[in-house]
Amino acid sequence: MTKIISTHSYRGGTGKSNVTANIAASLALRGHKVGIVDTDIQSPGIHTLFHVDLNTVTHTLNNYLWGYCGIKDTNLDITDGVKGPDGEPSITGPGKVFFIPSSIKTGDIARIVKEMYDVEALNRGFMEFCDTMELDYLLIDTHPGVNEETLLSIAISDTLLLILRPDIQDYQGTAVTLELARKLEVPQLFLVVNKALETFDFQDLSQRIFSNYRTPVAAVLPLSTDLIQIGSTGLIRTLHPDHAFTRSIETIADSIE
Amino acid sequence: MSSPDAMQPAIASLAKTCEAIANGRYDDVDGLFDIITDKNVPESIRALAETFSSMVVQVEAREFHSGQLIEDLTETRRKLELAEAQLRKENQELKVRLDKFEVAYDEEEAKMEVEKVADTDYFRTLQARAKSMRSKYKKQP
Repeated sequence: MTKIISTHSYRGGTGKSNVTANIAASLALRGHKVGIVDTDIQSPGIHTLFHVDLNTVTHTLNNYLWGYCGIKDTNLDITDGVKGPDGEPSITGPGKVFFIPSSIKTGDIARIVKEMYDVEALNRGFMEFCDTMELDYLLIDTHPGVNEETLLSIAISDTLLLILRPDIQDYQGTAVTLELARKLEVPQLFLVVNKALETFDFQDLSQRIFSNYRTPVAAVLPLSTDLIQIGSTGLIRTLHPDHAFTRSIETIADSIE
Repeated sequence: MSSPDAMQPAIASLAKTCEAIANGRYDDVDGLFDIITDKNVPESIRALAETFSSMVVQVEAREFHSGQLIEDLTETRRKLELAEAQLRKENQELKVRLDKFEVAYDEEEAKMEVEKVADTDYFRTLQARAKSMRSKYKKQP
């Protein structure tokens, strides 16, 4: 059975897509079949990390939600998009990464935001994706904030990764989302602190966050200049296998595996 | 020997100068110089006036020095007060910055936000479905 993992953050800009993509790469490198759905339909970001050119893609999650195609038509095998420093595919074992993208066309984004869509169809899509591709893990990259879609993603998840920055506004929203996830009885809840300045004492920060939310902190990820340089053009997990960020991603993968 | 007639005004002048100095009027010492230069005044009185005038100069110099010290101290105090105000301001700013690193949030507000979402039909339905879905999977081997 597929383990469903949602990554969510209360506010935008937490590096949620980046964390999701790197975890997916980590799990695939361990030999798992991983599926990613980019449900951040208002600002899709997963595709660039895997070097997917969405301009050539006709079937997206939007088309599926409008009933124009089946979910399997939207599926892309992006295993070879996980590239190492030499530009060569990093996954040579049995691991796979499948991906359901959201449309990047501004008209499509405007339409789906304006018209809304059947949240039930989204749920059916998730389940069909898991079954047809026989996924070990389904990673759902959600839209920031709390709305029907994100609540659904959280409700069906086995694991919720809540990404936050060490910042007062994120602390507030994280408390809200955590409480909602507890009410939805998500079996496994983890906090992931991202963009922590390297001058911070990570151990101390992790401890303080844990004692405030009484929720395990899977990792504290650093914000460093080399990460900013890579930006959203690739996966740190495979481009910098020895980076502190990569080690933290591996720790998260250990927690959910 | 000098006559008592010449001594009398000299002593009176000395007394007057003494009084002026006692009241802080250091400029009022011309009488002393008159005594020192007056050949008719007895030598001992003139010597006394001379010693006295040199004392006046020393006292005046000391007074001047003290005045300057007080001025310097006042200026230093003013600078200290400014520095203290600056420090207090910086402390306040640092405290604000420190608050950012503190893991804290408004619990009441968070509770209200949770209620707002949890108290909807959609959420309740989702809650029930999630529960049944999980118990169904748990029953599977």
